[in-house]
Amino acid sequence: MALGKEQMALLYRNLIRADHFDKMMMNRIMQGKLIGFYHPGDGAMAAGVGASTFLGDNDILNPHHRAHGLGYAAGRGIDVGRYLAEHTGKVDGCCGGRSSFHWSFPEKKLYGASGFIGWHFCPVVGWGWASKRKGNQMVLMASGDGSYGQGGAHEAMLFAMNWKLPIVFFCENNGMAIHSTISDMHPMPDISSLAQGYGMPAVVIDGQDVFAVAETVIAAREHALAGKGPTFVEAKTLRLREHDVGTPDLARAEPRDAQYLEELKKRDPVVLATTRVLAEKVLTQKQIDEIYKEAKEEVAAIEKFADDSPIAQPSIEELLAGVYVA
Amino acid sequence: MKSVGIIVNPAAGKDLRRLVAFGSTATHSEKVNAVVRILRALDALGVERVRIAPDPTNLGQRAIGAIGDELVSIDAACLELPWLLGSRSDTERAATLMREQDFGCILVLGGDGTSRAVASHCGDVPLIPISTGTNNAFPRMLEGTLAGMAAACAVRALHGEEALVQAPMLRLLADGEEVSHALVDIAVIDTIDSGAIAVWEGHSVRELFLAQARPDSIGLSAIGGCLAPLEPGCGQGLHLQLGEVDDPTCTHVTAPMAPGLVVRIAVRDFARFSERAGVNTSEGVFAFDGEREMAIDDRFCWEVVYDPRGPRVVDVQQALALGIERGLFRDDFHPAAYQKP
Repeated sequence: MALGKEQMALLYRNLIRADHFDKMMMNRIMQGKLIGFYHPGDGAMAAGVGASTFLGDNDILNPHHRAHGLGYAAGRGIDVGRYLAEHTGKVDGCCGGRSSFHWSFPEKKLYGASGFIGWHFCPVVGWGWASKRKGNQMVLMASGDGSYGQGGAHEAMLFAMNWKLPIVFFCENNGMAIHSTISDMHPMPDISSLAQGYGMPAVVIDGQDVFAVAETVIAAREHALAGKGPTFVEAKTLRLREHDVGTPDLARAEPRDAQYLEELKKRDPVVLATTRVLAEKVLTQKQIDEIYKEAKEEVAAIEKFADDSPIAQPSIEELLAGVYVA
Repeated sequence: MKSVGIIVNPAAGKDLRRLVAFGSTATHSEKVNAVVRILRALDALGVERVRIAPDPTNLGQRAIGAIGDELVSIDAACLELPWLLGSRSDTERAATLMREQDFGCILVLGGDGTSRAVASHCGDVPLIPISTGTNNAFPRMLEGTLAGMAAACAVRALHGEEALVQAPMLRLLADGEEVSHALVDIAVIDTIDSGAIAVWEGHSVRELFLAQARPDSIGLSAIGGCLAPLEPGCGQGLHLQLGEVDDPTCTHVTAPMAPGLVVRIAVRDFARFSERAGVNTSEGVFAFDGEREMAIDDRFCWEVVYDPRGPRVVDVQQALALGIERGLFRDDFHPAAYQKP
């Protein structure tokens, strides 16, 4: 159950890659080189990486919208060049350059974000039911604390528990829903307490600790695959920046305290993980330097791929082919 | 009259052992209720001032808010801490402030790990540790109202060392220098990282040092408790070396490693120690009070010291008995005769 050295090194590598991807997206949106929004993941990439790195190829993954799922993308091993091409409206994008933020990689069983928060609870029950029928497959559904204000969350937990579906409800709780604080939105600060009402096993973990997240999700996945039903994993995380680029960083109507945000940087998962891998002799400083160098090279290749790809100009017929209901 | 402190760990009783074992969940609302019960008891017995450690989930404020204006005379508020990081440092800074402000006692709601964090910073301030964690050998299951009443006795009706017990503790030394400590157990775990922190797999434990080993405890110390219990106040620790479960030369013992997780453990050797015992394992991770925390650095010589002078703990039963004997529960109680200076 405990992680081995190779698993820790892989998690660290994926965390550094995800962090570089997030910074790449920030740079590009500030340069006007992205279509649509960007919801920065600065300081909050560990949860996605830890939750996704050791999922099976058959498992269905529904990432969180924070950092547009890049932590999960890094863990899942998708082609981030196609991801960026999608965000830049290019023909080589994973959905033909038509979706931006609403991307998906069906061949990797990774389905991205929709236009509103909390959309995914009911489809997840369907994925869970299909996974139960097929066997040897589970669903990890990630979302934030704000999404649990949606009624669908409760319907999904009810059905998942009644039918013992192999679903992990993975909640990244950063205590903020755009400008609202969690105390404005929920009577109790632990979202996992909702799951307990359905008799669902629920845990609260440090979402800044990529290793703790991974170990917990491995256990939750085993629980699901053993036919024991759904679980709820609440990863306490933080938000260092605004909800999305271009929106002021407010808590209610007031700017968030700059000195407090500076303090929070001590909990940056990259800082925490680097300290751990060095102290526990998982990696040497030289190996860490190499991981950083490779991540930079990967970002350069991703950007070149996306920039070289032609702008998508689908015909009417091609656009209509992507419409399910007219 | 000295103030009473309350420190609640919002994260206690919620870890991975809800998935891999059958640990109950200490919900946020139950913790708030426990604080409410403590506050009402302190107020009813005339305590003048209580301060609750703040936490990012606003547990203390919720408890005070839940009581509203029902408190009669007590000044109840949260301590002022400039920043909350949602980590152990919040607990440690609160305990430090309570020590610096000479509090009369601190009620600690959490598990062994929470008590350890408080004990390392509270100095001589007596503790009343209340279990809301998973494996609790140091804190006990205790109803909040009674704990609050015992705290009121401690600050209003008891002198000096009355109703106080000095708990033992373990200190970990690297080449003779103390690097960490534990209130109940120090374990060497056969892994390379601290992962999800909790320890629940018996086969991963290589070596174990215990400051207490009771048959009625759960967790790592239960291995000693089910094999060779230590009598309270015996002045000795217990050192166990564990083996493979299929090794016929080992002594096999069945012990509760976590709630609902009763497992067979192979013990290669065990012995009591009065002062210090060497660590024989050169690879792995040290766990303190059931929480994986630090990799072994094989450049050092590691030793565990049994220290009988650990944190001071209020004996709740004795404190209540003395409070009753001195009339604290009666209308004609005269505090001047009993209050601590």
